[in-house]
Amino acid sequence: MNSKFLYIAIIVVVVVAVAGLGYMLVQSNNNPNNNSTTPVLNTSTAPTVYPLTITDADGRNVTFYSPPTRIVAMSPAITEDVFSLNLAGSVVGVDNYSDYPPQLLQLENSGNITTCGGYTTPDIEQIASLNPQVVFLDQSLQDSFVSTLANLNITVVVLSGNSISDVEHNLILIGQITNHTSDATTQVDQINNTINYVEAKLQNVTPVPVMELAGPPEDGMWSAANGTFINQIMQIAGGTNIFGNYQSWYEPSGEDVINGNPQFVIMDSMELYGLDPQSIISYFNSQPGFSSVSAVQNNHFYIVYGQAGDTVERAGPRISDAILMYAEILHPNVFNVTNIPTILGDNYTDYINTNIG
Amino acid sequence: MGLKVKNRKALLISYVSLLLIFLVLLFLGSVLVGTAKISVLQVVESILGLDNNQITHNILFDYRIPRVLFALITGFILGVAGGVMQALTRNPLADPYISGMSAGAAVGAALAFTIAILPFYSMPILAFIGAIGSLMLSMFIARRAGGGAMSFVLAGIAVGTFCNAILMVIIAMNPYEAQGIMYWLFGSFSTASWQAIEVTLIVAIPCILLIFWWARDVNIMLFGEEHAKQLGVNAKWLWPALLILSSLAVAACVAYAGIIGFIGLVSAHVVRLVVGSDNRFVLPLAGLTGALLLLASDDLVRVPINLFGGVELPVGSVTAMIGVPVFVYLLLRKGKNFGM
Amino acid sequence: MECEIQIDDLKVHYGAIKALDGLNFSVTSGEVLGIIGPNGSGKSTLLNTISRSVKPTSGSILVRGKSRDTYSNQEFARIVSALLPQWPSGFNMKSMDIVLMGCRNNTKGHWWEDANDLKAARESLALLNAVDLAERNFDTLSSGEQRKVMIAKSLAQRTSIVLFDEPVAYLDLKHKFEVMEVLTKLALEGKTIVVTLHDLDLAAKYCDKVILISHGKIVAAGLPKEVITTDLIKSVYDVDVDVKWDEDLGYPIIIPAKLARKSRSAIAAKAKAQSRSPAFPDSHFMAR
Repeated sequence: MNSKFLYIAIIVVVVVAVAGLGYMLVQSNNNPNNNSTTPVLNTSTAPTVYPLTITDADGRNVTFYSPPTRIVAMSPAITEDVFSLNLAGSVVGVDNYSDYPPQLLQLENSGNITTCGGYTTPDIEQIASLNPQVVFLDQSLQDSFVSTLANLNITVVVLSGNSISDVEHNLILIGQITNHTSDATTQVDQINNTINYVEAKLQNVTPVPVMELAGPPEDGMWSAANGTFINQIMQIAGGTNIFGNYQSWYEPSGEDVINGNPQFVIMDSMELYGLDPQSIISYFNSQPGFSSVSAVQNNHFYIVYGQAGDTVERAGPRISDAILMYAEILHPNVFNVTNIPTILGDNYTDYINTNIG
Repeated sequence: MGLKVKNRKALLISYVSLLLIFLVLLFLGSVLVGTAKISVLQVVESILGLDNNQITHNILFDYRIPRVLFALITGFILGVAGGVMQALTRNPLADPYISGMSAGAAVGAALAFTIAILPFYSMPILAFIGAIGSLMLSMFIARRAGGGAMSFVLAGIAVGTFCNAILMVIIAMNPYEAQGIMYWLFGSFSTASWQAIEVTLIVAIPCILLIFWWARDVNIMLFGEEHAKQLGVNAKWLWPALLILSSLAVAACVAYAGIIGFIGLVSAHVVRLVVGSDNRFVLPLAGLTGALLLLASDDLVRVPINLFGGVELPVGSVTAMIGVPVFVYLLLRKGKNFGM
Repeated sequence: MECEIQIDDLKVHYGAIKALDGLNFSVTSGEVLGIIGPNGSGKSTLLNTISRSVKPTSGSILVRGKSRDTYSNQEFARIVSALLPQWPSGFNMKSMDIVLMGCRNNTKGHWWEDANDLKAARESLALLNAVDLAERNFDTLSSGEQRKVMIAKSLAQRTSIVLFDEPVAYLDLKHKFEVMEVLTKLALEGKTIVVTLHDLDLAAKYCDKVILISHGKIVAAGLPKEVITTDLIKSVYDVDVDVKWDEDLGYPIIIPAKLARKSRSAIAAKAKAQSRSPAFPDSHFMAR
């Protein structure tokens, strides 16, 4: 055993490593990803013609030969999408966190729908046991499971939920796949009508400065900035994000807040983590220097949580509710709404006017 | 007097056989564990091709069996790699990731998560590149710093810490993907596939075989480079070669499974308690022990008990929960048993 | 008797520090060469340079007529075995396994040692009366016992040239003599032995030739009688001693002068005080 052998051995090993790497790449190229921009779908209500080939958010081409009647939806937003298209009877599986609409819970109790694991940890075997004809995955956190499910010969469609146009696109896409195109059009129309309604009403109204909070300020202040879903909703609802010149998420200091001087602070969160909402507001108000902030002075700190928070956080059909809710919070006079409480939870529909007629 | 050669060979073979039997039994048991209820009869039917249940067949052959096999293979690789690293650095706390490669792999995976233009399948590739990249960096620094075992350990700490810093920045800038990155870090076999097995085997089999081939020289290198040289072992080449081999094999399985801790650390120590520090015994047995431990851990993760709200525990937490008591137990015994 | 090692004008410089500054000597087979000198004189450096741990700055080292660099690692390990004075701790292995490591280059098998190796290992241990250590865990041995095992390991290499750096450090009296006797025996069988020693007594008794090194230079070389003399030891070691060679025994006695004088005056004083004959026989001290 001398150095010559070692030289050869090391070269062999490096070659092997490169081969392994190359093999990985070659295998991956069997799953083409063109990264094409999502094609614009027309919102016709004509029934779907099968076989239908669609392109999902990962650029994968998926073909359907008949409308799928065994659907698994792996994110709360997607679940809401599917149910809003009157597909309740076709759903066999959802993720653990899906909780809306109420019909879903009944179907879970009766055993028609099975929960299939968490958001980042879908239960692959459970999904497979349900023998689904299509599984909808959320692109942002579930991409790694595409090939796992595909290996089981399960049809996977990946959806992204980063913007309002994504929401509409997903609804239309699901409608096309399941031949519920008119339902999809109805949902999309509702969203568009809501947006038009709100924008029309706010045409000559000056937007008000708003700060969004992603959670209780005790846990650190994170605010959605430009490019986020919530930012879009805020802008339609006649608000200007005081951190709108930052990208994605911004962690403001106390000074940033004081300088931004928002008239409204809206904290949207899925849950309150056991905190008392009033204490959250007092905590914020008592921060040094915040007494000069307009939102504090006028008691305009809003907490939107539970179902209300879900409408804002989920890229699903209830964004129309979210848009209306924000618009009515920010401009109650324009929308003739009074007495919106600063804390909106599961019963938010009691307080906001969803009539856009 | 003295161990006869025949005895030693026979001893190793009997140890290996014993562990192999356990492993096979555990493997068979593991195939029966999972959310989907599949009975032994169904398994047999499936293997014989007698079943007409496509779902069961798919779940077994396209998910469960590759997952179990991959856990086994990863455990083996981590066990051997941990044993080798401990022998090379003469440090009982060494694990397969000592070159800082775990942090490097994490950075690669985090980039795959967060950079939108990167396709979803790039995750294992980037993790692999990250791992090897940080290894190369550590070795480069260590070489310049004198090339001894200590300089390598320190270089690994430096590179690992730096990569962790980068990781923190990536996570801070992408709070939404943070959860996904975290889960990758904990390690999971839920995305195991035949492809993962093929790639890992292609890379790891030659590496592991070469490491075994040089097991005796690993023993000799325990005395240090000077002594080894007197016995004709060129540690200047062999030491980094073994390091690269071990790290390559680990990088391959880490790329698909994330960072799984404690298996590499603990397996070799458990084996040394029984057979001493002769690496001709330790390395293969540590591999088998690692395979057993990791497979058992993944089984625990897959057991369909809704204790945690239906969320699958990351296998890295189970290995830690099993591994820490074992480690503490070893620690409480006389420290001498940590000898290499 | 062939010339096994030939050193010509060997220099090892570490920057300004001259560890070895122009050494010339040769070693023939069948002899035990002792290298003596004060701490830091370059004894270990010399051995390390021959054993290829250290690179010379200039000069040549010929091993069996060829430059020492021309041998591959394995070839060299078959000809020269070197024992370094220190080794790391923490070996959870049987001493027998450690000795067997010495057989690495001569074994036919790649992983396991064969019967020949076992025989060689056992013989090496037997030479050192250390057979009972074979089954014991190396970690549990005393430093002296460990040293014997390490020596056995070097001997198991079955090389014809043996370089030992401080082989008898930490060994008790019995084992000191044991080891030196083994080396003598090996030399009689034709091997070439080079040892560094601190103990001048041992050097004088067991070495065929002795080289006295100081500050990296050879001060004297030759038979022990010629090198271990009062003047040389005094000047090189910077110590006031008397070196008396006993003509009958053929071995020297080295007495620190202070002790000798002190002893003489102490004895005289005692004798005076007690008006008795001196407690010590007068042959050694009084006869000067």
